[in-house]
Amino acid sequence: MRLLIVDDSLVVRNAIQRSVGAGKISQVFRAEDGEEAVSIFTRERPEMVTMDLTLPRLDGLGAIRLIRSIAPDTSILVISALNSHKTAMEAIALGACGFLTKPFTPREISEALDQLAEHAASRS
Amino acid sequence: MNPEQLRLFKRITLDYFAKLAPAEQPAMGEPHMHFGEPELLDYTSLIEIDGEYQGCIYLTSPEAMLRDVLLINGEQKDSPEHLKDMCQEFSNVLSGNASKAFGGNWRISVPRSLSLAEVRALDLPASTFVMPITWRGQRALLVVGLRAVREAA
Amino acid sequence: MTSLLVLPQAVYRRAKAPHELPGDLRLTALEWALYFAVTGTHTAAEIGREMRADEAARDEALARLFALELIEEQQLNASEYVRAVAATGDREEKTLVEFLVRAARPNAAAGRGGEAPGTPRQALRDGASVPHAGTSPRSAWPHAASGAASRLPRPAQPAFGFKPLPPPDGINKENRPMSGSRRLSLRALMNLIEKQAGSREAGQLDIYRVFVRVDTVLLKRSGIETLRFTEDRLVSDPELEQAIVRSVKKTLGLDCPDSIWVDVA
Repeated sequence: MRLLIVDDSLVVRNAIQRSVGAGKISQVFRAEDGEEAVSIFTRERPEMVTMDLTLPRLDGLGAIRLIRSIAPDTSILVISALNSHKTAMEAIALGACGFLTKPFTPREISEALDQLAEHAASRS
Repeated sequence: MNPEQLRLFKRITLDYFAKLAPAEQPAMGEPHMHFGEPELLDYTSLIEIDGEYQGCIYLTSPEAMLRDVLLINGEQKDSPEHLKDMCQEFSNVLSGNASKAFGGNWRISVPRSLSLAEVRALDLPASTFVMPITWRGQRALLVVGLRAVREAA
Repeated sequence: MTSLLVLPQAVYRRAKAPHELPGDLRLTALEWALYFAVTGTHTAAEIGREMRADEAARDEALARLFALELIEEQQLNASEYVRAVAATGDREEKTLVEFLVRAARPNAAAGRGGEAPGTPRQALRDGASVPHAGTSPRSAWPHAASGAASRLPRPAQPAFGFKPLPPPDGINKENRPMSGSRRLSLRALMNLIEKQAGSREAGQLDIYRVFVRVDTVLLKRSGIETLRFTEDRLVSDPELEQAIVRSVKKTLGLDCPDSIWVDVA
């Protein structure tokens, strides 16, 4: 399975990538903004996406909408600093399967990625 | 700005540091007012607000504190680019919560991460409400800077 | 570097706040104690007595603090000057002229050992005010601090447990000009606003909103760069006082009551 990491922070992208479990994910793509995310997604069609919400050019919720319209079965984990129930509900309503708030611990991101992989596996 | 909004910014800042290292809780010191040249440290996470008042909210941090945050995130590199990137993350936190805290009558700027030289070049409000935060022996400042635009108009 | 002939009746105040001190500043325990003891209200003699410091050591320490521009002399009006002279404890009977003229001479007032002939002495210029103490060049100070002022957190507190003399009426009169009038007490004002606001946080925000409307140039002119919400300061600049009162009215719709002013002798 393949994963697209979308975050405008280099440090966060690196942190997520480091937490990717060996064997579960075969390839990782990275995007810095929503527009790049949609572009990479259209080209590569990864099964899983981690999506930040505060992004330049096209925001995370907008990118989720477009990705879900291209491939409704994609497993999307929202990882955001916006610690609000309303935002989380909005993301879930758009089809995200999980919501993780920043800052996250290595254990939290690792567990969230495991769950994301299980979700994607159940859909394939 | 009202007390609820102020409390929210205090809480999200403390929560942010508390979550980074649960065993090392941040402490908020007694606030004070500062007048004239703003108190600025190495990197500043800043959002500007415009509404009933015009001004900004920022967290200004020493480099060593950001290095600690990088390490907690597993990042060994601590170039200015990495430090600024980490600082930007906190700007995003401020921005996201500012949208929540201030109603529709307020405009919130794009969050910014600024080096000392960059932030000094800005025309920041001269009167500030400063809340010191101590974490891992380092001191950052959460600052609210307002201008009375209504009166000036 | 400016040096000083210390008069026992002289009143000093801090020229630099503790947080403004260079981080590498080194002072003796007595110098630190004196630095923290000067209040702008008590004479050198009173403070020295309180600390049981030898007069020569006291004067040497005060002179060095003055030379390092850490303290400055408080200008006194006539009544304050007379009070200060009385506080030196000189028991010798004198005529008024002797009292006023000789009081200005350290040897006569404090009865300490003689100065070398030709040492400049303070002259009482007129009956209303005593400006700055006389100055004389003095040779190298034993512990002159480096001019390189890297700013670091607060310096160490005095090595021994000295408590500054309490001000007469319980209000810190540090930096207050000692002319007889009323002064706006920032602490009283801040307490009032906090009380009106109902909570500490709301009060602090209200206080801040008041100060947002006050020109920072006026604040800085009065040496107010940082203000804690518990801080005790008297406003001596009438322009600043007016600006604050106006802002309280505009921001909070509040007329400042009498209780926020204090009488200064």
